[in-house]
Amino acid sequence: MPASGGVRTHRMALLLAGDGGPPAVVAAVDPGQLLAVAVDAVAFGLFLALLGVGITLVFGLGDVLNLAVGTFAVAGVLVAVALVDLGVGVAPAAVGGVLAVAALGVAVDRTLLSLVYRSEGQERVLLGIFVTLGLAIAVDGLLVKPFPGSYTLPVEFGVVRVGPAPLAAASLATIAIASVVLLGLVLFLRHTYLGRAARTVFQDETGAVLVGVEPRRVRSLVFVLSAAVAGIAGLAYAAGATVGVASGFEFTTFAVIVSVVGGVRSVPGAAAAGLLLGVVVQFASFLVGTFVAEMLLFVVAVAALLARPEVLG
Amino acid sequence: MRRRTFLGAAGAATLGGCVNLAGGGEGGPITVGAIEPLSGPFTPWGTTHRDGLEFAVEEINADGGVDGRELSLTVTDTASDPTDADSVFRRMVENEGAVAVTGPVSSDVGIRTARTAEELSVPLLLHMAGSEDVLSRDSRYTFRTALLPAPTTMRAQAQLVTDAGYDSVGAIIADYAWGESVQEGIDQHFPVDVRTRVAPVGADDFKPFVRQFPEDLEMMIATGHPPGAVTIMRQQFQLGYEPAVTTESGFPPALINDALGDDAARGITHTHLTDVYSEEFRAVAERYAESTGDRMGTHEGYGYVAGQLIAEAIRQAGSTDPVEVADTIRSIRFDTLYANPIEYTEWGELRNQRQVYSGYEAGAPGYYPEADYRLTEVFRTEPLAPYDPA
Amino acid sequence: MSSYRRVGVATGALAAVPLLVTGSSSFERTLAGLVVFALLATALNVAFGATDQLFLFTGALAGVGAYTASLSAAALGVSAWLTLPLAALVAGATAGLVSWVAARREFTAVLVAILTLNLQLALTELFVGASGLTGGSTGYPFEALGLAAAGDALGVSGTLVLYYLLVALLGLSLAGYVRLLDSRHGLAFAAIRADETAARAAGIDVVRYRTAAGALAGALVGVVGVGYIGLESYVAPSLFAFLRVDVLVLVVLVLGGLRSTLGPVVGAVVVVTLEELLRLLITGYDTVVFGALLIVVFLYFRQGIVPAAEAALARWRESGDAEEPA
Repeated sequence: MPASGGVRTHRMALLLAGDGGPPAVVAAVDPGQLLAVAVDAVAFGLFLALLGVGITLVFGLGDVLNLAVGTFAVAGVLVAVALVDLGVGVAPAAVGGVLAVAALGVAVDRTLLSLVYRSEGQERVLLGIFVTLGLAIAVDGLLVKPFPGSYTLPVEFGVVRVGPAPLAAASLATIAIASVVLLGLVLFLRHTYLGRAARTVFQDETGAVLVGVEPRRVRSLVFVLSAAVAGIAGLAYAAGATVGVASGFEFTTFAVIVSVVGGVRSVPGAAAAGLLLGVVVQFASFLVGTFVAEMLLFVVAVAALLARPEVLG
Repeated sequence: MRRRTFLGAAGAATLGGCVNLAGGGEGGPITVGAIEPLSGPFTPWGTTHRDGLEFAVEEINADGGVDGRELSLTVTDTASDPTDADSVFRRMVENEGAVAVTGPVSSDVGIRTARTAEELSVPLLLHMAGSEDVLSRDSRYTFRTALLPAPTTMRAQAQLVTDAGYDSVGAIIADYAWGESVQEGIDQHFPVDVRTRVAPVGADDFKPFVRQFPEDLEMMIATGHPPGAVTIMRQQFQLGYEPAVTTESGFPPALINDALGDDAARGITHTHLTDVYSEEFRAVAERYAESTGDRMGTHEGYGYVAGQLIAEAIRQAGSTDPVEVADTIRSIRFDTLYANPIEYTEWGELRNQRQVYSGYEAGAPGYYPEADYRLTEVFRTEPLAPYDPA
Repeated sequence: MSSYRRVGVATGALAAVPLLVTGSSSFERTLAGLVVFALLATALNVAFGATDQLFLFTGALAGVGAYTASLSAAALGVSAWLTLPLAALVAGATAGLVSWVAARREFTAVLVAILTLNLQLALTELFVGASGLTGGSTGYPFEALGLAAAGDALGVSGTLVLYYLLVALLGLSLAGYVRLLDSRHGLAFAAIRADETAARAAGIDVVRYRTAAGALAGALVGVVGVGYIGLESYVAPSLFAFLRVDVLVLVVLVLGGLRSTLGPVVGAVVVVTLEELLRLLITGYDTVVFGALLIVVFLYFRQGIVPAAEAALARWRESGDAEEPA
């Protein structure tokens, strides 16, 4: 390290020792706190599951890896916050946020995605990646002007004591919302016409056309649905934490990693991967440190890619 | 409700930027630069500082300017990226002839731009940027304004701990220069063992970190994580923690009040140099409220002081040569909105300042009756000796 | 005009520019930045253009080169010129390893893109997190190329010295690129791009050629990384971020012309000019324009400026020929 001074030596100590002080396992951690962390972890995992499902649905249906999914998640929160500032209640504002993101989804589908769908195969995948990346960058640039800082939903959440465990009400709310949405998606895919049509297109596009399904319409509707899911995910997250325009790219990264680990074209895989990764990362963050947790996430993603490349084709 | 008379001038200055406007030359307006974080994790500091600075420049120009010449303020958003801040700084000096520049908040930005200030020989008035690594014994063009360096600030907080007799103290620090400096300051000065956790600068969820602390935590030090301070405060209360005191590094108080509401009165302690209890501050704040309709806080105060300091230095130097302006600042004794007059050491550290610690209570200050909170003094330090890097 | 001639003309033109506009240090910095990106795009041209390996980690590779050179120079107490080869080696080996693994598993361009994107993000995290070694997000100053001293000796700024060094490197790299494509390597690359399975069946060792291309690209990026920190006189993780480097390099290459020799140069000139114009005209909306540019380039302008210009020129010539009397 080409500099001298006490601060540098301390940085070395931080590198070696982890995040300041002995890890929590060494110091006595009470089981109540551990249960509370587990609840937080499940909430985060379900949040990741929603993001992963959002990106997987669209990729599976149309070969478009939507790198703007994180921006959608953030946009929903920002619109909701703006509505609250205008005097709207939190719940209607949240709904407003989701609707705004869905509308954005419609606009993107009508314009950009139509152009992307003109290509086929590998070319479409590459095009989809760069067009959605450009979209994310452009929308972030637009959002940062009216929303330059960090924002949260102004909901009063407190502690819910279950025995010795101080559970965060915010996490419980996230779990509730995310579970309902995921369940809803499962029911949608299994039991509605549109859902079954989507699954058909997922598996065999030609076959789908033969049975009278219009892939383009199905893709549009599912894209808008995925945007709404992303918006809900963002709002669920913002209930307990803060969100800013820069969080968008971070969420997209999570979504891509979850999708890759879950098998990229598998919705249940994405959900499971999200939950698993979320729980592991949060526990790693609590027990060891954020740096290790983040590295772990990337290592798992790279390992998954190397292990099963055929799924991305 | 804001009057932005000078952003128009700033736009013109930027357009004409290719040609070296020699903003310090004869006659024309004097260019002052502001490199502020107007987006990103340090936005609250940038926007408030800019507002106070713009008001100061407006007042000075309304009063005839500096020796008959108007001040022209050019403000650019750095988003707290050190590389972008550096190139904006250079452009302001080289293309627009800025005589002095102010604004750095993040210590990473401070460290980077301080180096450039020394290279370009142009005075740089830091806003926050409190890492002690920003200034060295050889610094001649970089000056602190709002935040005393980590060793000094943490020594003051250590005094608070000793006086109150707290045993269970926790700290969350951010993974960058300032956070590390705060950690060092804690290690060196605190009389008790402090449990610390390190979080990324951009972290938006502090639950895993807060949960590390024992439930009977008496004091939480959020000083080491400025961008996350508000989230830390919100989440600690959400998770059932009740520390008697939570310190920060100087977070614009209006935003803490907006985010926490009544919870702000649960021991959140604002660190500041601007003496909001003084007559001078009240007078300026009243004029500010009249002109903009907004409340002047401690950080608008820092922006105001920066503007006034630059103008005064140019006046006293009788020149717009940046080198002479810097020399004047170094030897100035400027009585302004702080408890003690501004004076500097040879290397740009503030001398003899009293750091004030205030809590929040419901109510309104005299100069802004529509407010729903006011600051109340918890304690102020003795005049503090400047940190010597040697 | 033969390819080598073109390279010479382009290099000569770049060398002449500072002579026309003197004395502005911010202009010199902009020029040097332009050449840095032209170089990175040339490297990407080898990886992506020649062998379909969509590297999305040029930023991180530049960082690997930069940290290797600067930290070893500081540790050994020598000039960074001596550790430059080490930077090339480490960055080249990293990229080569990635290429090798991807080629063995028969990754498509998309898979390589996602893999390298992950690596880009992981490495930038590592640069910040391993703060004991790298100085974390704050970084540290870098003067070990001795540019300022060289500048003083010649009576110019250190930045100008760096500029000419980079232009020389660009000339060499472009000439090398032409040479590479002219050789049997180039033939093999073309075969692999046309039909990978057929190439393999014909006995072409796809893995070996891809690995070589990746390693070469990585080595060049590593060296350019050192030039980059020389320009900034600083080393910090944010210099190597995805949104700052990778996206820009990709736009430069695709806009200029993927698989064309001068595409990187033309692309860099256009993008940098656009950036400067935006800075003057629309303060604050440059990311929006940049995002839109990314979309437009990939949707409508994938061919690139140089190939489009060549095609237009060829059509013009043809129509001229057709009008000649029989």
